Amino acid sequence: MISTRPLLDPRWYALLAALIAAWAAVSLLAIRLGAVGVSSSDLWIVLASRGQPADPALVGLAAIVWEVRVPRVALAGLAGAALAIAGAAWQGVLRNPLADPYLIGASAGAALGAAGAILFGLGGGASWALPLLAFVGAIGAVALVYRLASTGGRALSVERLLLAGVAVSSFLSALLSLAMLAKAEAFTQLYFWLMGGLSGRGWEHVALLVPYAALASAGLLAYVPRLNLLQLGEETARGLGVDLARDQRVVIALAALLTAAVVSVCGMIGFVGLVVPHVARLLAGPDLRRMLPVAAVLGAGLLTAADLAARLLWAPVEIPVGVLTAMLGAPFFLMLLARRPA
Amino acid sequence: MTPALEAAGLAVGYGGRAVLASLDFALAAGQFVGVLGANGAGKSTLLRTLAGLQPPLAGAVRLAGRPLAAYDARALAKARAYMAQQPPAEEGWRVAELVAMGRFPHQRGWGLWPGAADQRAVADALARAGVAELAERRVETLSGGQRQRVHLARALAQGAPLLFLDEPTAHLDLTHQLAFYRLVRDVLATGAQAPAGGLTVVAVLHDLNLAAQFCHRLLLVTPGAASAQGQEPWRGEGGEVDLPGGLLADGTPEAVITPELVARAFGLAVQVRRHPESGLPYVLPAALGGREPGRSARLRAAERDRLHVICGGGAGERLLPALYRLGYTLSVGVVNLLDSDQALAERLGLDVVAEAPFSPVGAEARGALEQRLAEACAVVVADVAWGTGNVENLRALAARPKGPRIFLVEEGAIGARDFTGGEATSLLARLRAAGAETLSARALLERLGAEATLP
Repeated sequence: MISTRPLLDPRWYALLAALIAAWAAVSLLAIRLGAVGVSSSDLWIVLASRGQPADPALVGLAAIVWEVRVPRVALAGLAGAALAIAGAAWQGVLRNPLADPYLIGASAGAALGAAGAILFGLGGGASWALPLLAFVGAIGAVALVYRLASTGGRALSVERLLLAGVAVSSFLSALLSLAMLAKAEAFTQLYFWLMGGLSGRGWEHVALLVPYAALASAGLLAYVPRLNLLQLGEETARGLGVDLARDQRVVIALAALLTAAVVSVCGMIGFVGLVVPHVARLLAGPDLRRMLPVAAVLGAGLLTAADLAARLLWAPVEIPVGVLTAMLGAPFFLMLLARRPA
Repeated sequence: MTPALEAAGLAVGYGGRAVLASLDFALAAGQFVGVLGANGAGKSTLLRTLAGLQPPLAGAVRLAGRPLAAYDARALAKARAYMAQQPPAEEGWRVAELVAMGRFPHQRGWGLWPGAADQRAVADALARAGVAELAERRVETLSGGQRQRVHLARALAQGAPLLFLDEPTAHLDLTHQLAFYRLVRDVLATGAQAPAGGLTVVAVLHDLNLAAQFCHRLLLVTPGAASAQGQEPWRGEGGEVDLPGGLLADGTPEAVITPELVARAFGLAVQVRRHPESGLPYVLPAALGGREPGRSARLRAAERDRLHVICGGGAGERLLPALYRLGYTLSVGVVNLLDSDQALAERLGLDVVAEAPFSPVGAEARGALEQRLAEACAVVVADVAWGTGNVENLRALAARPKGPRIFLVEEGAIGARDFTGGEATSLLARLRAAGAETLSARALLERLGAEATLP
């Protein structure tokens, strides 16, 4: 019998299990390591009591673990997985392995939204204002780019989308520079936000991200078979029953929503959405039904590890994790580019 | 029985500009139908429109009696499969996985646990396309011919009664081309899986000889003057004139592969022989070093369907593109240079007898006209405004003792168009008395359209 069951392969399960184990190990490490070390027995007590240990000697430690490190690790995992899923969907729907939501205005829009929040003094106490404005900025910029790139009902042209993205991003960045000139004291805060980071993020940020991430990811998962068909070319996919114009719009909107949600909470964490899907494809093959779960776990583990490294490498100074992912991701990206046939 | 595929008054093209127009045909189930025509004539555009991949500009397409518009994407994918000219194969897919993608319209969700029907359809498609032994291979390790067969299997797995193939063998050598079309014929012969009437295949082909050997029926399309990409629309006296191509012939290979039709569709002088084994026609291009193919070859080859059109001043705008599309070989004149009908005729590549601008018809032009009148099987006289310059056309026509059939197009009273002091009116009356028919442009086109159906 010919096997056409994509998930029958035991090697795939082994791969996924290994990646999940690696992610769990990195997460555990990230919770234990830092300025204050946590022994595994203490960690177990804190986790088992959900941050409310009976032993008063552990209350301080419990606060660090439960209020700082666990939400941070959770957020890193969530954001990493979300960026990887969005990137994979994005590369699939545009049939371009070098596509990235950041390229079509999501980052510039979010930056401008965040700048607005900071300039109007909303960046401090009320933690929801900055993410909200960044989110609105990102979605607005992507919608604008999409609008400029679409040509009356027909399928989207990738070139037009990327060119419109470049133009809109440049324009928004110019506005951002102008805004920063107007209020120089906001510069540092915005600059740190732009570099992307997970420091100072708590459960409220996790709570902000979860609904969007869940909604958009679930939506994208429903489009996985169509994205598979799209690999055979637009014509073939349409011949097989993909409603290209409509499906493309939905996937782009969902991927943009997912990216905007992450950017609004964590700032600009570049190259995860670009690089992780490539590695996942190398490991699990082109079938998104196998590749996407691998990409999600890989993205979660990678961002958790990167955040841990960002905290430890130059302690007590924290490197913004976006700087680290860019430093690792950019050379990797160039390697992909060099390997790509002309 | 309901035809598998029907086109009614269909016009296809891009950006509102028709490449092919006035297409009417109905294809019975169980046949291998080839679409033939010159490069740029619009074969692939027609195929894509029939397959519902681009909207028609006019008219309708019906699959199994239902209009295309009544199908949603998934229902359409169950009704027809489409194989693109060169489907890209992303690396890493196994043959069986790729073929299983053909089951998408029949599945919900991720298709992780394909049912018995899905598995049977995939296994059956692999076997029928002769790629069962390749099932576990990766697509990128296959040869071009194997890859096309895999894509055929993918299209077969879709289980649709209609299969569209766009130049499926464009990049294969002769052996693999033959093997592929043999396979298509075998699939048709054993089309057990398809519903009543069997599988119908509509393919765009490049090679006339392969088409003649393998197809049951051929649709030959002829390029219009507007088919060359990027051409501006033609602006005449009465606004924009569309110059699309159309269906030149529709029938068995024996009926369609003839020197006359090939000459018209491709502008190429050929001989048609019979294949010693199959008895089917095959095409032999005229010897190398012979005349440049093109208009002259077309004219020589199609002498018996020559029409001469007397027009001018925009009266030809309604007639010339339509007659051209009907497949007639046209000569035009005498018209003055710079006349809009002269320019239109030149654009259509017609044989034009022209006189200097604003001059009466001279002896040389009259001689050329008489020669055209002698060669034509019929003459069409458009509803021209007659003056002292062009009335020479009517004199020449009336002077012929036993001329060709004459059609006089009349849309309004002649009085308003006669600026010759009555000479034109009396010449026309004489022609009528000698047997010329008077009719409207529309009636003329209907008449000639019916007669243009070639044997």
